[in-house]
Amino acid sequence: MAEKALKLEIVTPQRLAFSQEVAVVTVPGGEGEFGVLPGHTPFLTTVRPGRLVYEFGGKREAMAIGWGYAEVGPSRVLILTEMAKRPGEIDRDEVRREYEEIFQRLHGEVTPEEREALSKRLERVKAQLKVLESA
Amino acid sequence: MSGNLRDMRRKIASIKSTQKITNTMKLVAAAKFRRAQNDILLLRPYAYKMHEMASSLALRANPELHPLLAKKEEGRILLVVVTSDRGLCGGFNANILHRAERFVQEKGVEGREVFLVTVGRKVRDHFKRRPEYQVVRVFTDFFMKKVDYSDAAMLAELVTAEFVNGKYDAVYVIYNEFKSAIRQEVTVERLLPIEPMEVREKEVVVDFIYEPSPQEILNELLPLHFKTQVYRVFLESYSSEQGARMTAMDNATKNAEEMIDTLTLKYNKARQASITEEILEVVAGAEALT
Repeated sequence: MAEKALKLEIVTPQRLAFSQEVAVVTVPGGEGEFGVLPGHTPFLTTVRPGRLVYEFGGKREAMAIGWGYAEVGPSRVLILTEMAKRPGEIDRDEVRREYEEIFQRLHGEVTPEEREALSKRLERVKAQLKVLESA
Repeated sequence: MSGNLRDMRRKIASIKSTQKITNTMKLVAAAKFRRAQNDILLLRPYAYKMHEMASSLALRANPELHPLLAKKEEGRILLVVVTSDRGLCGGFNANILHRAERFVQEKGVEGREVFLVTVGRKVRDHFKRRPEYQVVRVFTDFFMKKVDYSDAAMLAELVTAEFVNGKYDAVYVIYNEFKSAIRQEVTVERLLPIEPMEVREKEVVVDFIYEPSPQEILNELLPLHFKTQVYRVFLESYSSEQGARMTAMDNATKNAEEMIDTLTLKYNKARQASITEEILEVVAGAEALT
């Protein structure tokens, strides 16, 4: 492959969270975690909440991301997601509190729709905690 | 003479109170504008990237996989016209309405039928007086406070449903695209079917590998893309509206200032003239006595 560069772009409805060339990126895909190196074949998949890891300037960095989509091409990875937070942007106490709250509510009376919404939020919170732990 | 003076004083007072109103409106619009501008600038990267993903999909994927990709002969067109709910924003609405009418005529010449979905009170009122246009749906009050994503999602779902069941062959939108506080641009875009990306020269188009199945991804991604685009259009229009109102009210305030200055000068001259006249009368009276 002639193209060596891999541009990683992470966008949320609130901002352009990341846009840099990286050496490698590992994404929590809906069908399992996958890694991308430059020259990857075109690939479209869903993204689930989890820890996204990339190598940038010789360092490994992580980000907590939410539900969304990933488009992979030979020289680009585009991730559209509802959330993207660096470890420094996550408020540990806030996230813990949210975790407790969701946990409590899930054990109480909830309708199936509420349960689904809560589980989705729980996944998001877990992703943030995971990133904090590994940071 | 003194009656004339009183009239002038009254006129000046009335312009001053109008000026107070336009100035306040300017300040309110400025505050709203800052928030609206912030919203649209934050959403744009996401909406543009989503558009990239969707148009890249439209290029690669088999159009039969999803109804939102299906290209048809445009016999029946649905046109969404976005204006404001409130007035006093200069040419903001007039530009949109002209463009919309031109669009209907142009398409009519080509033998296509255009149906209108109106968003905003101004466009509703405009076409209410023009029964020759076919308005199929009317929405108002989306822009009274701030733009709500759920309104955009609702409209998107409705339009999607009518497009998918074959009632319309294409969906266009006319709105004011936000450029800067003092500039907005009337924009016409085709929203459905989703436009395929342009192919760069010598590029070989390969379809994606999908995980899970293409069906599952497209079923979620394309509706989300459409909702995001409608939401972006609403935000574009809302910040344009606030910018336009800010400019219009700033001009109105300046014009009022000018009028007040001219009138005050006239008033002072007239007052001076009447004083001079009175003195002359007194002097003349005194002279007559001696």
